[in-house]
Amino acid sequence: MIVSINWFKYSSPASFYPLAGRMIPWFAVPAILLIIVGLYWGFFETPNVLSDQKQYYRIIFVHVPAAWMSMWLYVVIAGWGLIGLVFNTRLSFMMAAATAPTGTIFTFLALWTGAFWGKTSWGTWWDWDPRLTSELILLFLYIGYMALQAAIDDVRRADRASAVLAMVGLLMVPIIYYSVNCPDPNQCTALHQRSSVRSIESNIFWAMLTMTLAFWLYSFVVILKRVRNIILEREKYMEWVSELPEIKSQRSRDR
Amino acid sequence: MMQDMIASYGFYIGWSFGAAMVLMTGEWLMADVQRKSIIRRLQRMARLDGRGPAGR
Amino acid sequence: MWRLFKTIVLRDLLLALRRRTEILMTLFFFIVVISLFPLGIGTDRQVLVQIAPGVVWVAALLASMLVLERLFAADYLDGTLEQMLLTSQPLSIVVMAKVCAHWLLTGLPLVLISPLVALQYRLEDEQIVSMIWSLFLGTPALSMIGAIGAALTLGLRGGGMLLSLLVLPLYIPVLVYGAGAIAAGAVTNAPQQAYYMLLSAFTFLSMALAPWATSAVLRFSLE
Repeated sequence: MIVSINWFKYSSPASFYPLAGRMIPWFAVPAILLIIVGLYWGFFETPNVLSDQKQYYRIIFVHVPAAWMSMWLYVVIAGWGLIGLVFNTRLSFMMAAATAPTGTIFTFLALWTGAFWGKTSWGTWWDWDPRLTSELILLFLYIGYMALQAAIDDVRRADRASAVLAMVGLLMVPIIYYSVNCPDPNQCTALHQRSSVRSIESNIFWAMLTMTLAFWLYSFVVILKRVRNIILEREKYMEWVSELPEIKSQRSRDR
Repeated sequence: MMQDMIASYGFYIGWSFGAAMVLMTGEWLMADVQRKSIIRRLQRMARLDGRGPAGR
Repeated sequence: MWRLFKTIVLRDLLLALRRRTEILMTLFFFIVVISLFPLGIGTDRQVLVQIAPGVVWVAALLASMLVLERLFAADYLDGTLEQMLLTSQPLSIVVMAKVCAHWLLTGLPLVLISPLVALQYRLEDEQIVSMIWSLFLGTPALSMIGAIGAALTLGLRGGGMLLSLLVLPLYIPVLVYGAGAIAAGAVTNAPQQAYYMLLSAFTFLSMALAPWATSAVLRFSLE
């Protein structure tokens, strides 16, 4: 039997707000547990050496999940923007706005941990490696997105303008990636992505995947928390907000 | 093994993992703090709403 | 449709000719920036030939970015833009025409002046030709992508800084292949055809998509 969920019911901020509140613990507990499991696994249950790299390769357990999440969250932002523009739902724009800071933090983390990793294995904090460069550009895109949203006072315009910006950015990302990966088109007729995921030992790979899942769940938690704040902020003159138990009862402030 | 790890690469691993944990916990707590302040503001608004003739 | 396009291009050109200083300012900005680098880095010929492609292209990016703000600003302030939105004509044609006029006023002069700055960097004749070609093929893409940014930041406080933050990362492919084309001629002697093809592909892609995105954004901005 197919359980049908009325998605449109939950696309209204008033009904999504309590739902998000109920969902948060369901993501928060597994996120914390998985981070603990993943870190323990990564530090103590994996080999001490990865090809020619020693202990410091363990940065991988933060670096790679953060980089993956940073890219994925940008896609999520553009996706919410597209949904918002097509269906004209306020909640989608709020989700997009709530996602951006988390994405920025993951992008920054990927760069930061990448710098420390680079210092140990290449002997330099920064190298104009295509992947590092693309990640830096992704950081610029995130910052531009948030700056645009902050600069426009009219919420409706800010939402739509930044949605278009996110989609233009998403369209440009592959082109930018290609151009930094392959600055000389004469030598680069076939772009070969030198991903080393396949060659990694499965134990390390699974620990990394656990951390990715943990970061993913963590993103759910903070994004839902932030979207609840955004909903309250934007809907503060609505009837249903003043009817909320946490606002009505003066004594028991928050829960 | 633990000693060896801390001695040789503690600096790098500490700084990267530490930064990750600090930033992520910070973001999490930030959202809670923000929520507190918004709710306090809304409560004040609701109180004024119930009492004063000026409305909102 | 063609008549609409022509009318708007001519109108914008005429308006700009009445205020010539703005075009000249872009041009001099371009020249001044390019002239500063040898003073800072040194006038060794080897070095100059090495840095010329990057310097010329970065200066072109900055110059075209600085004038972007004015692409829609004047029409926005006096309400013409709103009238253009209300006409039954497709808005993307209007945008396309405005961007074309903008490129004729700010992009084309850079292309034409580039042989002069190339002399400052002591480039050979064929390198000068490749510089002209790469600028000619690449700068329209700058105007096109920039138009989206100009529409996004229309009428905002501090719009200029924000505009550069939004637009400059998107200029990277043009910078890479534009500078690459000149460098291929000047430094490594590699064939340049692939660069030109990528640049023109990028320009055509931006011409196809940017007017459409820009007009969508203009509608939000003026709602």
